Amino acid sequence: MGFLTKLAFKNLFRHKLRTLVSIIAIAFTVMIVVFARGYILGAIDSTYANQIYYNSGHIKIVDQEYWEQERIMPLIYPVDGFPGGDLEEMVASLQETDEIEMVIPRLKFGAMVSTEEDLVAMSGWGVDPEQEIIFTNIEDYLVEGRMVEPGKLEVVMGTALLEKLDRRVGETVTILMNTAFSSLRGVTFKIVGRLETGLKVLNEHLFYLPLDQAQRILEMEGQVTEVLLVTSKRNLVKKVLPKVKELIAERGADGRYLALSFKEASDIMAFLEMANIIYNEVYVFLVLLGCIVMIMTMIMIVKERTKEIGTMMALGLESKNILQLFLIEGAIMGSIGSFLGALSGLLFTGYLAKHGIDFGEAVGAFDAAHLINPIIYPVSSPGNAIFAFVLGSIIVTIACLIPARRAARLEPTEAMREE
Amino acid sequence: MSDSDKKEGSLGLMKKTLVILLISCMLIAIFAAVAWGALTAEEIIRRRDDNEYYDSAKVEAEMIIINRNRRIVKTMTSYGQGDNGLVVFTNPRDRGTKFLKRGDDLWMFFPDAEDLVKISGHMLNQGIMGSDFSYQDLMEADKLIDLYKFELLGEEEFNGRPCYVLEGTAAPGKEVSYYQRKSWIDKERFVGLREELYARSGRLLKVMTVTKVAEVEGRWFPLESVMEDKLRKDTRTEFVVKEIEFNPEIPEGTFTLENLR
Amino acid sequence: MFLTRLALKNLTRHRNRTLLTSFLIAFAVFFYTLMDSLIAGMVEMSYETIIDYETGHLQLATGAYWDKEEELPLENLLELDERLLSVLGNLEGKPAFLPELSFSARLNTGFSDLPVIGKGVDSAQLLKVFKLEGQFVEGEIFTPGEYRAVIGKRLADLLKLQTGEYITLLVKDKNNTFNTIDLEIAGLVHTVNPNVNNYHVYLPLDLVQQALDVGNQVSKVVLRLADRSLAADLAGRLQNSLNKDHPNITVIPWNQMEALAFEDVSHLENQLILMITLLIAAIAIINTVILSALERMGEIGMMKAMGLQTREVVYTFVLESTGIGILGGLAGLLFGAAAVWALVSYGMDWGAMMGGVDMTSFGIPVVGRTYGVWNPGAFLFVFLFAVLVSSLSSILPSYWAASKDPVKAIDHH
Repeated sequence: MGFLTKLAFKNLFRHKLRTLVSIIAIAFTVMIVVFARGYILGAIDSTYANQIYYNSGHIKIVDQEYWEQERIMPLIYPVDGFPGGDLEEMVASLQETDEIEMVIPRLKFGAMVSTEEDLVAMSGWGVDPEQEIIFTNIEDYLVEGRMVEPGKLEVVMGTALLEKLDRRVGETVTILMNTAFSSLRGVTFKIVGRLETGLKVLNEHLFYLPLDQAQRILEMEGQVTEVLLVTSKRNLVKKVLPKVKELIAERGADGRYLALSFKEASDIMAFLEMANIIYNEVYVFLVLLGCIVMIMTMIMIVKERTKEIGTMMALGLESKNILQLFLIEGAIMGSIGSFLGALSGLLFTGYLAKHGIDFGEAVGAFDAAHLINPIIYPVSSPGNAIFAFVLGSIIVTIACLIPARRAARLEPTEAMREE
Repeated sequence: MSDSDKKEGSLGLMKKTLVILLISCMLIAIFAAVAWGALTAEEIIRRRDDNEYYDSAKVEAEMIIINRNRRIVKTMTSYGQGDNGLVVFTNPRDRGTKFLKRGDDLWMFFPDAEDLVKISGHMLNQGIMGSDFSYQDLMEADKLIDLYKFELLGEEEFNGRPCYVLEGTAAPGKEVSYYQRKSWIDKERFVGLREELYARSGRLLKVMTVTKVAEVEGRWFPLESVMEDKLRKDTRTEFVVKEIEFNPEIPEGTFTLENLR
Repeated sequence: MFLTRLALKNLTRHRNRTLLTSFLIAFAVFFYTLMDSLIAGMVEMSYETIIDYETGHLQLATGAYWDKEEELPLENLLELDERLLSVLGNLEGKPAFLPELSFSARLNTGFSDLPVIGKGVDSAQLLKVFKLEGQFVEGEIFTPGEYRAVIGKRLADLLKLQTGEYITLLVKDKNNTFNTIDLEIAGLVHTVNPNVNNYHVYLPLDLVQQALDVGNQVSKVVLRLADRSLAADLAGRLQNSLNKDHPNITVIPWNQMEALAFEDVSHLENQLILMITLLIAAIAIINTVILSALERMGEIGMMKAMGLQTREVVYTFVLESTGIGILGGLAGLLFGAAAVWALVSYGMDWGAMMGGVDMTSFGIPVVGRTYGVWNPGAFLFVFLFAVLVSSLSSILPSYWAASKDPVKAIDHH
C-alpha cells in the first residue's frame, strides 16, 4: 500500500495543473451542493414561514371557545395558565417539555383609529419584543425605526397602515380599543418603527405593541389570547404535540385548551407540502447532477491516461495494483476537493444563514412589496456539509475505478497505443 | 379576513357601548299625565316625541350589559341640552372617560389619550354591518315622526297597564335601521312600555321592555328598561335611571371641548 | 474553413471526450428544463387557488366600487343591463361569466353567530367560473329562487352545522335597514382556498338582490378565460369596448387584484434554484475544457509547428467547444422536451408519490395532480447558456496552452 500511495501522490504532483483543476472543480461542485441544500431548506422554510410566524407557531395553544370565535378576536376566552397556576407557571412548564425551544405568548385584539374622515379598523398584537425578534426576524422588515420596548407606550406599524392614518415614525397616534370588560379605552402611543413586508396583513392591518402594555390597557393582566410553541425543527411537531396534549390533560385543562399543530392551522398546508416535495426533489436532482459531473470528469481524466496505464503495466504493475493506484488517487483528490468544498460551502451558507438573501433588494422597493418573503435564510448545518464531504469523496473515488478497470484489462501494448 | 370582518369584530362591541350610552342620555320619554280622548297614531307618537325635547336634564344612570354569564355594569352622569349631550363615566373601569355629543359629532375623552377622539356621525354608519344600534338608530329615535308612518293598531293591556299599540313602517325613501316598530304606549301616562323592532323580512330583532316607571316633577318616564337582542341567546342590556333632574343648573361651557379635558 | 474542418476532425478523433462532455451538457440541460417545468407547475397551482376560487381571470365593477371594495358596499353597484350582457355574451372565446353580489352578513344559527361574506350568484354560472363542482363534501348546489345556500365545511364545523339545517343571515340593505334571510344549507364545500372555506356563503342572486333592495344590480362580474395569459389583453379590449356606453366600468385582470397578495411563490427565489443547476453545469464544462486543453498540449504544439497562429489554434478550440455545446444542448433539449411533454400531459400524482403526507381533507384530495408547464423561453435560455459557456470557457485555456513554446509543448508528454 505504501508504495502505491507514494506513487499516487507522485502522479498527482506530476500533473500539478490537472490535479489542481480537478480538485477545484470537485470543491466547487461540493460547495454548491452544500449551499443548494441550505438554500432549498431555507426556501421551504419560507413557504411555511407566514403560517408559522404569524399564525400558529409550530403548536398553538388557545381556549376552545376562542378558537371558534377567532375571527372576531374575543378577549373573554384567554389563555391564563393551568388550573391552580398562572400564565407564567404554564409557560415554564411548557418550556420544560422536551424539544420545545421557545414559548411565545401573544395578545391579539381589535382596535380602531379615527382619522378626519374615517374609522380605520386594525388589529393589535401585544408581544414580547425580544422573543418576536428571535422567532420571526421581524427586524428584517423594519425599514425605519426600531421594534417596541417593554414597558413603553410604543407601536410599530406597516407602511400601508401608516399611510392610511397619515402618520410617520416619531409621531403619536391615539388608538381606541375595547377591554376585556367592554370598556372603551383610548390610548396615545408613539410610533417607533415602520414595517414593510409582502404580507398584506402585516402591512395594512396590524400594529405591534409591548405585551405588558396590552395586558394593562385591556385589563388582562396575566392573560394572553394564545401561546405559540416553537421547536427546533418543523418535523418534530408530530412527536411533540402528543406530549403537549398530555401535559395539558395532566394539569386538568384539556376541557379548556386546545393544542393545534401548524398543519391544522390552514387549508393551504397540503399545497405547501406539495411545493416542498418538489423542492426536495430538485435537491435530489442537483446532487445527482453533481455526482454525474464528478464521475464524468474522473472518467475523462483516467481515459486520457490510458497510455500511461499501458506503460505502467508494461513496467510490471499488475492490474490489481493499477486499480488500487487509481482508487487512491481518486480518494486523495476526492477527499481534498470535497473537504475544501464542504468547508467553504458551510462557511458561505453559514454567513447567509445569518444575514439572509434579500431578494427584495434585488427587485427594488416597489416590487418587493409583492414578494411575500423577500428574504430567504439558508439553513446551515454541519451535518449537511459532512454528508456532502463523504458523498463527494466516495463518488470521486469510485468514479476513478470504472475507467481504470477498463484500461487495466487491456493489453499493455494496446493501452499504450491509445490516445 | 376582509376589512369589514375586522371592523365588525372590533367595532361591534364598541358601537354597542358607545351608542347605547348616548341613547340613555337622549332617549328619555317624558310625558304630561293628561289623557286627551281619541288620538290618532301620529298624535300619540308626537306627544311622546314632543316630551323628549326637554330643555335640559341631568341623569345619573346605570347600564348593565349581560352576555351569557358575564355581567358588566357601567355608571354614568349625563347632561342633555337640546342637541348636545355629555356623558361622564363613574364606574371604576371607565372612570375618566367622557363622551360629548354636539350636533352630529361625537367627541371622546380618555385619560390615557393625549388628544380628543372625534367621530363624525357618518363614520359610525360607514358600511359597517352590526347587529347592534348604529348612530343612525340614535338619530332615528329623535325623529320617529319623520321617518316612520304610524298606524294605530288598537289597544292592549301590557303588564297590567292599558296601552295604545302602534305600528310604524319605514316611510318610503327614508334610511332607517328597523323597517318596522311596534310600540306599546301607556294610555294614561304616555310612557312607552314596550318596543318591538323588526327587520324588513318581518323577523323580530330587538325588544325593549320598560320594567319600571316613575313620576318626577309631573312627568312620567321609564326608570328601568331592558333591551334584548332576539337573535342572540342570553344577551340583554338593562338601563336603570338612578336620579333625574329636569332643567338643572348646567354650567356654561359644559358642552365644550375644553370641558372634556 | 480549414479550421472548421480541423475542429470537426478533432471532435471525431476524440470521440470519447466529445461524447462524454456532450452527455454532461445534455444532462444538465435536461434537468434544467424538467425542473423549470415542475417549478412553473407549482407556481401555476398557487395562482390557481386564487383564480379558481376567488378572483377568476377578469373582473368588472364600477370605478367607484373598486375604491371601497374591501368594505363590500352596496353603493356604486353595476347595473346588469341588456347592453352589458350582450357585450359579455359576445366576447371572443365566449368565456363564462358570473355576476356576483357580495355583502357582509352575520350568520346566525340561533346558538352562535359569526361574520361572513355573502355571495349572491347564479348556481350554474358559479360552477362554470369557479372550480367548486368537485369540492362538495356534502350535499349539492342550490337552484335559483330556492332559499338554500352553500358554505364551507370549515365554517359549518365552527358553527356545528350540517347539510339540511337552517341558518339566518342578518344583513343591512342598501338603505341601511336590517333584513334577514333564512336559508337551508344545501351543501358544504372544501377547497384549497381558506377564504372560501371559512367566510363565503353562496346563495341565489335573485334572493340577495331582493333582500338588499338593489334591483337588478351586482357588485361585480367575474370572468373565466381559457388561459390566464389572455387576461391582460382581453381586459384592455373589453375596457375599450365598454368605454362608450359604460364609462364608469373598470375592468381589472387577475394579476392586478389585491387578493393576489394571498400567497405568491416568488419567481426570483425559484430562479435561484435553477441557476444553481446551471452553475454546476458550467463548472463541469469549464473543468473539462481546461483538462482537455492540458491534455492536448502536444497536439497544440503540433498545430503550431504546422504553421498555425495562436489565434487560429484558439479559434479551432473554440469551435470544437461550441460544437460540443450545441450537440449536448440539442440532445438535452430533446430529452427535456420529451420529459416536459409527459409532465404536461399526465402530470404527477402526489397521493401516489408520497406516502405519509396527507393530501386530503374531509376525504377530498385538496391537491390533485400537478401538471408541468411548457416554457419555450426556458428551453431557449438554457440552450444558449450551454453553448455560450462552452465556447467562451475554452478561450482562456486554449490561449494559455497555445501560447506555449511548440517544442516545449510537444515535449510535455
